[in-house]
Amino acid sequence: MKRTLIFVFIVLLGISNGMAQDCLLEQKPVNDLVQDYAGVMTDGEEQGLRQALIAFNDTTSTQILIVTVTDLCGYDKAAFTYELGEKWGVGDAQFDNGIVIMVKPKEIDGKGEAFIATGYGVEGVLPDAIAKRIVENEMIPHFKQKDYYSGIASAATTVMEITAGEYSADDYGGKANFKNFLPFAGVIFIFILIMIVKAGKTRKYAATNGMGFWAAWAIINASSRSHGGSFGNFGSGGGSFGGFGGGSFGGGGAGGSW
Amino acid sequence: MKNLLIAIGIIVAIGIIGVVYSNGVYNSAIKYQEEVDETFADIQVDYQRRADLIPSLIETVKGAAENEKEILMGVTNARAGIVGAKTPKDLEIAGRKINSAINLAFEAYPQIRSTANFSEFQAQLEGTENRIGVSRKKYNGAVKTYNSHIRGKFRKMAIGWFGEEGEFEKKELFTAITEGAENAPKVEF
Repeated sequence: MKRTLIFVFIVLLGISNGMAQDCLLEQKPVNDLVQDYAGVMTDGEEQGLRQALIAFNDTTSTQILIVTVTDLCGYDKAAFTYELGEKWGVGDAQFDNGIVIMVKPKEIDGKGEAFIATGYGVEGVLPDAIAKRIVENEMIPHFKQKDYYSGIASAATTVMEITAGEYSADDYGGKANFKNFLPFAGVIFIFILIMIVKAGKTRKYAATNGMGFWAAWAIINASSRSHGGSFGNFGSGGGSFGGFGGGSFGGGGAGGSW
Repeated sequence: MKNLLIAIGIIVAIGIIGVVYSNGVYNSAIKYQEEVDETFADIQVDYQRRADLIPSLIETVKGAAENEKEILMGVTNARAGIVGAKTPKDLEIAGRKINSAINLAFEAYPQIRSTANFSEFQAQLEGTENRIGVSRKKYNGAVKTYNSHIRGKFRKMAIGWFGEEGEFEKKELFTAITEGAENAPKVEF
């Protein structure tokens, strides 16, 4: 009896695991700009693309996610791609400058599908008609030859060329600095407040114990436990991706099948 | 005497908390309502975009067609309907007008399909359809948040306290109209 129960449990676990892994839209975002779930690129090809996209993100703040899948979660290619971009938040939250390039390779039965989804902020520089042209001219001819890497790389290059001028890192940096200033001012304010309270306490302590202010200060600080604060990890060294920024998608983009 | 003061203090504190709470509820109601209006405006923009495609489509095959006027009239009507739309139902009607104008254009100009720009036009048409679908979904999300906010018992009371009569009414969803209304109606190519 016990054994059957364990067996049933394992089977159920397997089923729920399998379901969670089948559909990319149900999964938590993976912080990576190239995700080859269909396995159509070599590690070296993937790494090269990744580095190019990270560098592009660093200089322009525009995020391009390349994803190859075998399952569209029951959506059509367009809905799958912009839902993925929206859910994962590809692009900056302020500029909505995210792009998702999705490829579903052709299987023995069925069609291959490709779609380029554009975030709200990229719709102007990369209109649907242009996205369509990129899919038809840069991707599908290569895909028909089963050369997935060339099609993806060529599309990514074209998209980068077109969108390069739209947002600059300076633009982005300037606004980000202002945003960072407020919490910083808050920290200083709290620090000053703590100092005032502490100074008051010290004076009281010095008066009741008949000693100098700084002696009292030293005693109080020695006895109070210090809360060592860390400022978090800023160290995202060269060549690593900082994460998606919360960009939003409105259904822009175009695709094709072969 | 002291006890009385404490009692008064507690009552005043409760009153202040009540006012602050109600004010917060009222302000969120305004915020949610703004969001509903904003997402509704987004759908209007998307429908207009779709309507504007038709004249440019006809432009590509300029020339021979006796019902060109009829089609363009339909587009003008639909555009007016979009601008004046107050409810999802109004938009739905305008959207149907746009689609029938597109279908009419395809019937009137069979040669459209063979023009060089047709695949790009098709991409644009599908793009507007996708955008309409997304904005409808976002609108429905905003309406759901808003509706559940204004319907809570205490919140209703608080809103009634600050707001005017009829200022916050339940909003209509896109799903409430016809079956499958969440998805924009399709055009037959």
